[in-house]
Amino acid sequence: MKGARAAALPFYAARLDARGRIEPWALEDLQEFAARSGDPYGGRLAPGTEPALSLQLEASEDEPVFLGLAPRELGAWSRALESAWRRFGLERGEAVALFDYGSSPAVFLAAGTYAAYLGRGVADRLGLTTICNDGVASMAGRMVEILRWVRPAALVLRRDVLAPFAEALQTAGLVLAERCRWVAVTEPDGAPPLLETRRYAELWRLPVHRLLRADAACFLAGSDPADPRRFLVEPALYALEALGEGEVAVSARFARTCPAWRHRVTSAGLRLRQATARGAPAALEET
Amino acid sequence: MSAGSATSADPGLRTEPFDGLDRRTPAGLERYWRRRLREVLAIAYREMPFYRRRFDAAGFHPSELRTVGDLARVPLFDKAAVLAEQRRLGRYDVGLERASSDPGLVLSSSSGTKGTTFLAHPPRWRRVQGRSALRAHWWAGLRPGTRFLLSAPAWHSYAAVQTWIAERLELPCVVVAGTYLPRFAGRIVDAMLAFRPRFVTIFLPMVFSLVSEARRRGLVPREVFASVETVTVAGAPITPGMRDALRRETGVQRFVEIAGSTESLLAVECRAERGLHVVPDTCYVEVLDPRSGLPAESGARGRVAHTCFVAWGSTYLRYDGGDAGVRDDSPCPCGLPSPRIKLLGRAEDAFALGARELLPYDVQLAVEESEPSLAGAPCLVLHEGLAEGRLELVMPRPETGYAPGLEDALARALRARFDAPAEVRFVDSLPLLFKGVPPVLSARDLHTAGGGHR
Repeated sequence: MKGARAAALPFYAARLDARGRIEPWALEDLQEFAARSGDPYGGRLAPGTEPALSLQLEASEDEPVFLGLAPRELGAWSRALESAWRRFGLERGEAVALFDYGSSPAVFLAAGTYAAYLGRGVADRLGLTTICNDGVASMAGRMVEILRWVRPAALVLRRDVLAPFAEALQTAGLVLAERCRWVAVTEPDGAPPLLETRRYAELWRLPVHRLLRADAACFLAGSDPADPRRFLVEPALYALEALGEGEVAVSARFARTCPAWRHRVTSAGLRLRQATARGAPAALEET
Repeated sequence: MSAGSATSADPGLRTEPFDGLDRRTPAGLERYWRRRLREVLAIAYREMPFYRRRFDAAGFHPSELRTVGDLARVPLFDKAAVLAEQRRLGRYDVGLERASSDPGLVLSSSSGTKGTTFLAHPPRWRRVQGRSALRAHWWAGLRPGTRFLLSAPAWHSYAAVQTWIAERLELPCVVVAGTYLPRFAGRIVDAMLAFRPRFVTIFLPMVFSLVSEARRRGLVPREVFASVETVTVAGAPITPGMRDALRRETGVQRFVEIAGSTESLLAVECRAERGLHVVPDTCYVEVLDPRSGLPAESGARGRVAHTCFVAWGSTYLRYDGGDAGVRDDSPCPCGLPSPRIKLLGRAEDAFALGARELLPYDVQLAVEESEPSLAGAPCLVLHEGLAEGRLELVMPRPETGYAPGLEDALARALRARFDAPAEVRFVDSLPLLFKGVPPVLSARDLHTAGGGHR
């Protein structure tokens, strides 16, 4: 069944092996296909579909690729972010401040207000307040003001604003651990390096969690609060498979508009640990 | 404002009414506003401590509002008052919010150039404000099913209503990675070429960045805009010369100016292009004589104050947002009953030159009228020149059409126009701050902010 669907999509049709299996792919493969074919979706748009939302993948700056999404898919993707936020720990009525672009799933899945056709985002479901500061590093000063007056319980930061934000905090003389409980760091494709998040955890004296993203596959997983080397993956949303030494492919079970099958997760040295109990998260562990 | 009979619309310029509110006569609209003002002021007095205290101190009670003109008895306030209250209370919510503990609350912040204030947007605000903003977009020509290129800055309150409008009109939406700053122009050009949107909303200076980006790629800008029927522009006042230049460059016939603020001012241009109609279910707008504080004559400049009607979340009543502008109460050939305003810039950027008080907008107009090829080019006035009684203007060297002596010719024209000494200097680049090129700056700041010669 999947083989027939794959054959109807030019990107996958070109990646079918003799047994009808899709050869795993990376973002560059999709970009290359998009550039060659002139199709902004890179040959993955289901025939006859007009996506409600077409989103440029943040990591596809040089060769733009778009992801087509339907409302139901946005909702499913937001469940992955919800799992991460729940594990990091938030209480109803608390606020989360986002220092990232509105085109990042760490932002647009957070609230129904941020994405057309999302409906209820994570904050709407968990009863949280959100505030977004855009993703421009020069807005670090405004983020400090958000921290000072809004007093969010948690911050989500784009990796490239870490340094300017740390500097702005220091200039303002604010102690982050006195103002919020945790920070999560995200970047457009892959995960921020553990060494870097550890350094900021030591500097700020609070947990700095990580988000692993592969937007081309609508994939998002948060690090395990007990072990930041592990990313916990919702099995109801994603199918994972080990490809070989340190390589994992992900398929998003909910993606229909632009099916996401066997996308290589861009992060060095990942080992897959499938869930041992029904419904429990699978883990991707950095080696 | 005048309260006469319904205006007779010019068929070629007529705005298709969104609903019955657009079909009212000016007198009918005034009755609507009087009712809405009484409602919102009563809510504010009952539920918002910020206003109750201020109304009591001014000896005003909402039940005393008999006419729209009685609004002048309501105390004005500005951002400094909100910042002071924020400091006093030690929190963002200062008592002018309603339903701010609703689940799913989204906050947005002001730009932060004069200190950051915060606005609360509960889901009920989004529904009511969304419908009113839909009226504004309807006037601008947005219709169901139109492919819509979204600006995705989730940080701005406009993002919240934009997504609501998209859902309500079932618009296929395209979201470009990043944000709406010139360095992302390439991504927007890519998206426009790939998706061919009919309706684009954009920060005005970005349209010029898109034109430059198209040229940089060796494209004719018209190719990039080929599918676009309407571009709504915000963030800066468009001048007639800019509009003509953009029409010429892009081939898009309709550039619609929208004036909006996070504090819920909203006004939109119609096809007559004689000012921006106040969106009547979002706000009531006054233009106040800066000396008397009373409503200025129709067409006279003053400070802009607005009172918003969406009493959910942060509710700004008689708020002086720091803009200078005009209000025109004369009938509009488009048939809409609400008065028109034009925001001309920040009041704090006004400066004296000779016997005149000017805004950077006046300089922009003078530049494009003297030298049409410079329409839309950013200009920066240096403080040092003003301190010596002369206009010292710095502009980026034109990408095309530069002829030696252009600076001198323009300076001569400006001297004649303003009856004051004037100099013009072309540089490689101007500094780009948060809201675009700052209109008035010191020479030292020009260099430290990254402008000047490379």
